[in-house]
Amino acid sequence: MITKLKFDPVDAWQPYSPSVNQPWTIRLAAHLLRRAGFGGTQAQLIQAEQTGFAATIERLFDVNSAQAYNQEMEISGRLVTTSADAKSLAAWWLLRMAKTPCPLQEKMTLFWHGHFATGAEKVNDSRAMLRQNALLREHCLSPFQPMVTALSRDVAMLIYLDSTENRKTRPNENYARELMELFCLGPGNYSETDIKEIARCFTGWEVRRNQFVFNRHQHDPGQKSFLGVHGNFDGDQAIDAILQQPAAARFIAKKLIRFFVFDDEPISDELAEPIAVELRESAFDIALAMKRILSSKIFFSDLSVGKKIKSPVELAIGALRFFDVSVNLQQLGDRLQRLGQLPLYPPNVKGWDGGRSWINASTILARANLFHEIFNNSSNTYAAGSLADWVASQPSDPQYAANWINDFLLAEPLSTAAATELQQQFRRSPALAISCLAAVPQFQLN
Amino acid sequence: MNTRRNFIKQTLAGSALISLSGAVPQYWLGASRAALLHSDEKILVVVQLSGGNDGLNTIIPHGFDEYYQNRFTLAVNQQNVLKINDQIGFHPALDDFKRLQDDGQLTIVQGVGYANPNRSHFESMDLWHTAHRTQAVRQLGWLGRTVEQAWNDSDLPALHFGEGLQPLALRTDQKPIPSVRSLQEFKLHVLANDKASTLLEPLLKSPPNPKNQLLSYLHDSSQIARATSHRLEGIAPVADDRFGYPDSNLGRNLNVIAKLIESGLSTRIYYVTLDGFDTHSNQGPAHQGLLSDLGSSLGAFMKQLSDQNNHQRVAVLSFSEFGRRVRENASAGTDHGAAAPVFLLSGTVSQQIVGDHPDLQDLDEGDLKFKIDYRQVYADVLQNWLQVDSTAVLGNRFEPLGLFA
Amino acid sequence: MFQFQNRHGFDSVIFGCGLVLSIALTSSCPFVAAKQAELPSASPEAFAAEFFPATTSVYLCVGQATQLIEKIEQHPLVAAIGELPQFKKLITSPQFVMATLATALVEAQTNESILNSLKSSLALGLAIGIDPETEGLAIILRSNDEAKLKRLVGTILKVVASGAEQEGRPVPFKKGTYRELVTAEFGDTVIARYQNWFIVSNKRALAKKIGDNLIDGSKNSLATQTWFKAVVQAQSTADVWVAVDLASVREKGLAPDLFRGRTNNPGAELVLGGLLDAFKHAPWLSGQLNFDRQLDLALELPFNPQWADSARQFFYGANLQGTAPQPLLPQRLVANLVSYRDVADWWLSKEDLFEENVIAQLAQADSQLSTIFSGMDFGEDVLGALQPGIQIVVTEKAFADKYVPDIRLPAFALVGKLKESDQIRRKMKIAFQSLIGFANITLGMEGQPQLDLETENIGDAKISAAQYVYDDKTEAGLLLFNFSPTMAFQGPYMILSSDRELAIELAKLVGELRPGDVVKPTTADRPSEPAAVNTHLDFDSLVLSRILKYNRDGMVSQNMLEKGHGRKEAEAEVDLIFGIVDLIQNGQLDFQVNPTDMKLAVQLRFVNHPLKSSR
Repeated sequence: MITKLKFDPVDAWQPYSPSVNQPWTIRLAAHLLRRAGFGGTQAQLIQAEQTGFAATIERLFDVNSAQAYNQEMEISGRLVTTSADAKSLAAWWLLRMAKTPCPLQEKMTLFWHGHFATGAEKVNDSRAMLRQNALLREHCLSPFQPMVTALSRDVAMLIYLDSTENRKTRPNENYARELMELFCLGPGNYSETDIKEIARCFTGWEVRRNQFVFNRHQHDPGQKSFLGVHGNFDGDQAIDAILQQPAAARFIAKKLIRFFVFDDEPISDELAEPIAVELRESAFDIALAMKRILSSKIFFSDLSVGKKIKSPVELAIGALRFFDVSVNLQQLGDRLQRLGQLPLYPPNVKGWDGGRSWINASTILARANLFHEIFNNSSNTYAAGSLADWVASQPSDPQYAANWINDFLLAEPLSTAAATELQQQFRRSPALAISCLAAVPQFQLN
Repeated sequence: MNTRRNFIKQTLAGSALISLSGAVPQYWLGASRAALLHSDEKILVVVQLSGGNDGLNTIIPHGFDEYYQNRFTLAVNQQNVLKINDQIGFHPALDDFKRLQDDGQLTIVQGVGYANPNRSHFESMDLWHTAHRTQAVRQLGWLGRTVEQAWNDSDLPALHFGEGLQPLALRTDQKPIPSVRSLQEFKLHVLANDKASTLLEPLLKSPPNPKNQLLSYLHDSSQIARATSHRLEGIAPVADDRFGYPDSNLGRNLNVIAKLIESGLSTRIYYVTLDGFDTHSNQGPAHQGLLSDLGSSLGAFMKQLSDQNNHQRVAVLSFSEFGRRVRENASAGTDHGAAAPVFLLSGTVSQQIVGDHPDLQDLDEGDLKFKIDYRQVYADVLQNWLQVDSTAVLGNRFEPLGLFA
Repeated sequence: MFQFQNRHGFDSVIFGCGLVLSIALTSSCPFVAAKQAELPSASPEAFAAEFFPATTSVYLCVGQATQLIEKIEQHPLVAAIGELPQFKKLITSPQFVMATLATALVEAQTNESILNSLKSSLALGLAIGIDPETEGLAIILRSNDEAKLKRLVGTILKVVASGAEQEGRPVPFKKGTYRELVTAEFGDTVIARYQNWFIVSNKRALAKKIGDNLIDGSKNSLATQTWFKAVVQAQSTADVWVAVDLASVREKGLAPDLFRGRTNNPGAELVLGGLLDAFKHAPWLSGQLNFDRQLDLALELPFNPQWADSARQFFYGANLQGTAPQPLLPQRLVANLVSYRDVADWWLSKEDLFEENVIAQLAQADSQLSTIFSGMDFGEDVLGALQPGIQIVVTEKAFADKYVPDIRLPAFALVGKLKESDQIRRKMKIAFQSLIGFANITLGMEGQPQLDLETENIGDAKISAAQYVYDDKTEAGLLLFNFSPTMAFQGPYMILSSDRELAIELAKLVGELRPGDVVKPTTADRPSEPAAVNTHLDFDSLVLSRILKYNRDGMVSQNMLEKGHGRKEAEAEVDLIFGIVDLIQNGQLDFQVNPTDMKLAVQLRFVNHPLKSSR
C-alpha cells in the first residue's frame, strides 16, 4: 500500500492525500507518529486512522495541548537542577518525552538540541542547560531567527563554544565559525575572513555570574565586512546577514529532511529547494516547513517509510509509550548513554550523526538487552496493571488484532508466519516476546 | 558495503558445515568467519597512565647524583633499584618489567615528549591523543584515524575497555568505536531463557527486504554481533588466577583482552587506562601501588599471551601525558613535568633500551628535555607493527625508531 | 545464601508457605487441650525444636502467636495504616480484591472471621527451620483441632486438583502416607499432617525426619544440641525468636564473606569491625523481636575477649573498655550517633586490616588529604590529634525568610575531642581557612556566591564561621543556602558543622558536659549489664518528617525520575512515605561489647505511645 513512485523534487513535496490507491492506514499513521514523535499506542493509532489524516496532522501540531503539562514539568525541572547534576536533568527530559501530550514538541526540541548541540559535561551547570532546553522548546516550531538570536545569548551555548571571554583585542572565532558551519549555512558557504569579521560582531557578548551581559568596553564597534555586506554590525545584525544568504534556508531544509524523512538517500539542492522556498517566504517559520514535510507525498512513500534507524532515545521512549510502562529514568539514561545517545550529552558540537552510526556490534546487542532489562524488571509499573494485563487490554477486533505487530510496531514488516508466532508468544510470555522482538533488525527501523 | 555482504554470504555457506557438528543454532554462526582475524595481522594494546606518571621514579637514574639531590625524600635507595645498568634501573615495584626486559619482551623508550611542553593534563593528553597540534574544534584521535584509513570495513577494528569516557585517541569521524564496560554487554541476555532461541531463530532468518539497504545493514551488523558474542561465550569476567593477575580493574581488563585475542576477534586495537598518577603529595606509597598494579597486570598479560602463543602478534604501548618535575615539592610529591619514558612490550623487541636517559643537568625550566618525539613511537607502531601508512595518519613523516625485531 | 538444588524446589517452598498460611488462617475451633499431655515439655520458644533434626542450623519460631496477633490487632500503628488513604486505595486494587474474594470463600466455608481463625489456630505456635544436611527448609505448625485440620487440607488439595484439571494440566501432587503421616508431594516438596501437627518442607528427607521425631520422639534433636540449649538459656521469651548455629553455618562454607573476620571495605570496617570477630568465632547468634507499644529488636552473640583482633583496638578500645562519648542533644535533633572509634588508629592500622589494592587506594587518599592539611600527615597528625570517640549530630536547620533553598537539608556536625589542644587548634584552623579559600576560588570561577570567613568568641568558644555572601543577583532557591561551614573550639572539643547556629549550640552544650558521664544503655534489663555502650544512636522521626515535608516537591520530582511516574502517582507514593514516617515517633540503637557477649538492641517508638523516658 506504500507508494513506490520515484519523485521529482517538486512532486515530492506535494501534499499526500489519502485515496483508493494510497489509503490512510494504521501503518501510515504509525509511520507518522513514530517520526513526528515517539510512536503511538494502539489506541492512539486507531484513533489516528479513524479520524483521518488531516485531523491527525492538526492534533500533532496542537502545541497548546501540552500547556498544563509543560508548566508542571518546568517546576520539577527547577527542583531537579537545585540538587542534582545534568544527568538527572537528562532523566527529567526523558520522562517528559515519555509522558508529554504533545510529542512533536519534544521531538522538535530534541532535533534542535542536536542541531545546536551543547554538552552538559563542559557547561557544568545544570541550570544553564535547563534554561537552554526551555529556550529550544519555546522556539522549536516558530520562526528560526529569534531562536538563533536567543541562543547567541544563551549561557550554556556561550560556555560550550568558549565565547565567554570574547574580547575586542582577541575575538574568539569559535562561535562565529559554528554559527555558519553548523547552525546556519553549512561548510563551503563562507570564507575564513567571514569568520574573523563575524567574530568581531560578537565581541563583548559575555557570561558573568551565570548571566549574559553585553560588555560595551569589550565590543568592537568598528566597520566589518562579510558575506557581501559592510557596516558597524553587532551580533544580531550578523545573524540577520547570515540568514539572508540563500544557503541558509537550504541548509535548514536539508537538516530537517535528514532528521525526519530518511537516513541514506542523498539530498540534492533541488530536492531541498521547495522546503527552502517555504522557509524563505515565511520568515523561516519552522512550523510551516514541518507541516509541509510531514504531509508530503515523499514522506509517505517507500523512500521514507522504514528508511530511518531508530535513535536510542526513539527506541526507548517509543517502547515506554507503546507499552505504557514507567521505569527508572536515571537508569535508562545510563543505558542510553552506552547506546550512544544521552540527551544533553552530545558527543561533540556536531551533535549526533544518526543513521548507521547508531549501530555497531556492541550497540546492536545492547539495544536488545535494554528491552530485556526493562521488561523483566518487576519494579517497573504498567498503566494497565501488568504486562499480561497490557496484552489482555489490546483491541480484540480482528481488523487490528490479526497483524498488530507488523501494523503498529514495525516500519518494515516481518514475514506473516514470524509475526504470527511472535504474537502468540505475546499471549504466553509477553516479556520474552518483547525481548526477542527487540533483537530483530526490523525493529531497529523507525 | 556490497563486497562485505557478498563476503558474509560466502562465509555463511562455509559456516553451515561447522554448525552441523554442534548443537549451536545456525544463525549464530551466520558470520562467524567475517569477524575472524588472520594470524599474521598484528594487534596493538594501549595502556594509558593518566595523571602524568613520574618517569624518574619509574626508570630510576640511580647512577646520577642529581637524582638523589632533587628527590630528597622520594628517591629510591640505590640498593633497592632493580638495576638495568650502572645508570638506570626499575622501581622495585616493577619486578615484572625487569623480568620481561631480561626475556627480550620489553623496551624502554627514554625521554619521550614534544617541543614546547604543555603542562595541562587535558591539553597534553589531547596532543598525545590526536598527534596534531591544531586549533580545530573537532579533532580525531590518531587511532581513530588509523582505523578509518586502514580498516574501514572491519566491524570491530578497535575496542575501548573501561568505565570512564572514551579517550580522544579513539575518536573517529564516521563509525564510532565501542567502549565496553564488561563482557556482559557482548551477550544477548534474552538467550538465558531456553525458549528464546527457538523463537528468535525464525525471526532472524526472516529474509530482509532486499530493497531496503538500511535493513540489510542492520541484518549484517546483527549477524556479526551474534557471531562475535558466540565466540566470546564462556569467557569469564573474573581475572584468571593461573597467570597471576592482580585483583584490579587493569588486571581484569587485560585478562579479558587476552581472552578476546585468543577467541580470534577481528579487533586490532584495544585501549585501557590506569588512573591516579597525579601524585602531588606523599607520592611514595601511592605511586608504588600504581606501578605494582601496572607491572603485575602486564606481567600476567604477557604470560597469558605466551601461553596462547599470541605474544608474537601483540604489542603493548604504555604512555602517560607527561612526566613530572625533576625536583620534588614540599609535600613529598611532584608537580607536572615534561619528558618521560614510554614502554613497549611484545614477544620479541629489538632492544632493551632505546634512546639515552634525559640529561639531569640540562633542564628546561626544571623539566627534563625530550629526546624522542612521541610521534616517532607512533610512526614505528603504525608503519612497522600495524602495517599502516604512518604519514597519512600522522599528517607528517616521523622517523620510526626500529622498536620491533 | 542458602543454595537450594533447583529453582523448582524453591518455588515449591514459596507455594508451601502460602499453603500453610491459608491453613493457619482457616483451621479454627475453640481451644482444645486434649493432646496437651502427650507433648514433650519445652520452653515456649523451643516448642518444636525437638522435632527438627540435630543438624538444623537456623530456627525461627513464634511461640505466643495468639498474644502476638492480639497485639498486632490492637496496635495503633495497624489502625493508623488502615486509615491511610493510600492503604484504602490499595485494598481496592484488583490483586487485593482477588485475595479478599478467596478469603471470603474460605470464611464462608469455615463460618468464622479470618482474624479469629488466626488467633485460635496459631495458639500453639509456628516454627521454621533450615537444615543444611538435607538442604531443606521446613515449617511446622500446630493447630488445636485435628479434625478441622484434616478437613481443611483435604479441601485445599481438592481445589488445587480441580483447578489443574480445568486448565488441562495434570494434578500437581501425589497423595500418600508415611507411617502415620498423611502426605501430599509436589515434586520434592511435601506437605504432611500428623494429628494436629502440620509440616511443609521442600525436601522429602527433611519432612521424613521431622515425621519420625513427631511419632517416636528423639534423643538427638535440635533441642538437645549444646548450642541450642545455650541460646535458650541466654534469651528470654519473645514474640518472634530466632537461633542460628553459626558454627555449622561456617563449617558449611555458607556466606564465607561474613565469617572471614575481614572486610576489605574501610567504611564497613570502621562501623562493623569488631562484629566480624564475633561472627568469625561465635558459636551461635540469637535474635528476638517484641512488638508492643514499641518495637524491640535484640541480637546477641557470645563473645570472648581473646577473639578480638589486635588490629581492631580502634573498635574496642583497650581491654574492650571503649565507651561512646556523651551525646549532645541540641534543639530540633534529628539524630545523634555516638560511638567509640579511634579513627587515627583505624587509619594507621590499614596495613593489617585490608588487602593490597585497598591499602594502595588509602595511601593515595592519604597523600591527597595531606596536601589539604598543608603537609600534616593525615593519619598521624590530623586524625591522631583526636581522642577516640566520634559523634555525629543532625538537626533541622532554621531559615530566614529570604534565601530559603528549594531543597532543605538538615544541619550536620561532627564533634571530636582533641588530645592536646593549643598547637593543633591553630593548625586545624589554618586547614579550615585554606579549604574555605580554595572553595572561594572554585565558587568564584563558577559565578556562585562566595564565603566570608569570620572568627568570633562566644562565651569561651571560638567560632570560625564561613557564610555565603548574597546579593540581588543571587539566584533563588540555591542549595548553598543550606550551608554555613563552621569550625568551633570549646575547651578540648572541636566541632565541625555545616551550619553556624548548630556549631554555636553544640559549643554551648559541650561546655555544660560534666566529666565522667558515659552513655548508659537504655535497653538494659539485667543488673549484670555493663555501665556503658560502644555505640548509641538516637533519632527523632517527627523532626525528620518535618524536614521531609518541606521537600515534598523535590521528592515528588525525584520519584517521577526514579519510577517514571506522572506527577499524580508520584505524589501519592511520596505521601504514603510521609504517612508511615508520621507513625513513628522516635527510636534508638545500642551496641554493647561485653566480656561474654555482644548485644545489639533497636527500639522504635510509635506516635502517641512514647516509651517512658529512660534517661
